Amino acid sequence: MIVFQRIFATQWQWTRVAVLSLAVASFAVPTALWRLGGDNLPAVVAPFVIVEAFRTLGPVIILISLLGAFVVAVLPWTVDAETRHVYPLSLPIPWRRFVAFRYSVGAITLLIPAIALYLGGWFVVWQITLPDVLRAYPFVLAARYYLALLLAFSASFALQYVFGRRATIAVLFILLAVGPLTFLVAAFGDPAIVLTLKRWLLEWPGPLSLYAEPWRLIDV
Amino acid sequence: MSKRAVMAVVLLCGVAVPALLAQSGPSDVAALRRQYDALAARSEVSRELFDSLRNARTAPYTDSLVAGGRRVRFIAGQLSERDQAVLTATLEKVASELAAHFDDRATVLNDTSSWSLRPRAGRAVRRYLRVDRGATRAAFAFHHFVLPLDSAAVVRVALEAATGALPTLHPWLKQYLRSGFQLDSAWIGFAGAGRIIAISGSTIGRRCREGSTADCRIVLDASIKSANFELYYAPEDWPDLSRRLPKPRGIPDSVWTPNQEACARRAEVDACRRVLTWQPPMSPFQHNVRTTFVIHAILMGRGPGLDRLLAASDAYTDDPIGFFAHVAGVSENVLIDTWRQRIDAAARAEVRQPLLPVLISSLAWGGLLLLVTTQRRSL
Repeated sequence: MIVFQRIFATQWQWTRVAVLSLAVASFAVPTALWRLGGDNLPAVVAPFVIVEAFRTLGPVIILISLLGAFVVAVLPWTVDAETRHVYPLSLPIPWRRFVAFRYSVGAITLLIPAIALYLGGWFVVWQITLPDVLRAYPFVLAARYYLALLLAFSASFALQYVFGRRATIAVLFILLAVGPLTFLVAAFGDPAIVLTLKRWLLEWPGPLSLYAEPWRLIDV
Repeated sequence: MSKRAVMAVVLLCGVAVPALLAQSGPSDVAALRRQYDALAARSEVSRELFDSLRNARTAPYTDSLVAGGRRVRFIAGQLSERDQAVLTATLEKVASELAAHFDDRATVLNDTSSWSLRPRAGRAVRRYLRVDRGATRAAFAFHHFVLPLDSAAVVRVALEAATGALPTLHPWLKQYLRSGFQLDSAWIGFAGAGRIIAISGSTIGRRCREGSTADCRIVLDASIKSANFELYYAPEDWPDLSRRLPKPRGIPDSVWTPNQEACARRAEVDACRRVLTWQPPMSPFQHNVRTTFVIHAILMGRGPGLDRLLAASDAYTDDPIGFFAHVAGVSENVLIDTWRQRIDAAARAEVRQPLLPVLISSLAWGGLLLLVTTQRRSL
C-alpha cells in the first residue's frame, strides 16, 4: 500500500498538468459548442436547434479523450526512461505489479476529466431553457467519456510498456503500414472482408464500439 | 517513447484537431460535397441497376438455393458462400417472422414463384442485391437486405418483394409513401420517426407527441402543400424556421434581409408570414414518417389485416388514415395513439441505451491490454 501511495504521489506530480488541462478542456467543450452553435439565439429555441448545436460534441470529446489519454499514459514512462528506470527497478515489488500500479494510478486520475465533463454538461444545461421534449444526459455522457478515456489510455499504455523505447517505431509502423493497408483493403479489397472488419471493430463487443455509438448530451 | 516523440504527437494532433473540427462543422462546401456524393451514388446505383437488368436478360441462372420456402436462382460463381449464407438466413428469418405475424396468410406474401438473384458487380453498391420476381417485375425489385431484420424490416421486405403490385392496386398509396416502401437508407425506423416528431421545429409535431390526435393527423397528412406551412408550423416556430431559410430567387436582399431579421430577432408575425410565403418551408414530416405509420398498421392488423390490405378497394383514396385503421382493425384514434406510443418508445429506447454492455466490453478490452502489458518488460 505504501508503495502504491508513493507511486501515486510521483505519478500525480508528473501528470497533474496534463490531467488538469484535460479536465479544463472537458469542462469547457459543451459550453464552447453551445456558444459556437447557439450564439445569438433567443432564450427559448426549438428543440432541433439545441440538438443541432451539440452535433459535433461526440467527435470533439473522442479526439480529446484519445489525445489526453495518450499523454497521461506515456508521460510517466518518459520520465522513468530519462532516469534509466532506476526508480521502478529499485522498488521492492515485481515489475508486473509496478506496471499494474502505474496503470491504476492513470485510471484513477482520468476520473477527474470525466467528472469535469459531467460538471461542464450540467453547467451548459443550466444555461439552456430545455423544452419539455428534451432531456439532458450528462451522467451517461461522462460515464461513456470515462470509458473512452480508459480504453485509449489502455491502448497507449500497452503500446508504451510493451514496446518500450521502440514505441515510436511501433506507432510509425501502425501509421505507415497498417493505415495504408486498411485503406487499400477498404478501397480495393473484398467488400465482405471490409464489412466483417468494420463489424468486428465497431459493433458491440468490438474494441471501438464505444466510439461508434452516438454521444448525446441533450436528446429526447 | 521519448519526450520529443510525445511532443510531436501532441503537436500533430493539435494541428489535426482544428482541421477535423472545421471539416465536421456545417459549411457550404461540405453541404455541396454531400449533395455531390449523394448524386454520384444515385447515378452509380442507377447505372449498376441498368447494367444488372441488361445482364439479367443474357446470363443464364445456373444455380439455386431454397430457404424459407422460397427458391432463389442465381448465376453460379457470382454469389459467394457468405452471400448465400446471409441470403439463406435472411429468407428463413423473413419466413418465420411472416408466419409469426400473419399466420397462414404469410404464404400470400411469401410468394412461391421463384426469385432470380444477381449480386451487384460494382463494389460501391455490393450490398444491394437485385431480385427479379419474373422478368416483368424486374424493375420494381431492387432490394437491400439488412441483418439483423426486425419485424418492420420483414414487413417492408415482404411487401416490396412479394406484393410488388400493391402500389398498382392502390395508386394513391404510392403517392402517400412517395416511392413505395423504402428499402434503402431513407428508412429511419420507428425511433427515427419518434425523434423527428419530437425535435422538429414544428409545434404541431410536438403536440402530436404529447397526445393530440388532431395534430398527429396533420403530421400524417401527405396532401398538405408547402404553401400551407401554417398548418404544420405554429407562429412560435416561425422565427427559428426563418433563420434557416435561404434567400429565394427573385426577392432582393434589401427586401429579404430586413424581413428575415424582423422575424428571426423580433418575432414579428407579419414579417415572418412574408418570409415564409416567399420561401415556403417543406413539411418536416415526409414519407419516411408516414412509412412507419403504414408499417405499424400492417403489423397491428396481423393476418386479417393483410387480407383487408390486399382486398381493399379505392374507396379510401382520400382517407389514408381511415384505410390503415381499417387494415389494422381498430379505430383511427386508437391506431394513431398506438403509433405515437410506438415511435416515442422506440426513440427513447434508442437514446437511453443501457451503459452495462459498453461498460463490460470496455473493461474487458482494457483488462486484456493490461494483461498483455504486464507480461513483458521492455525498457
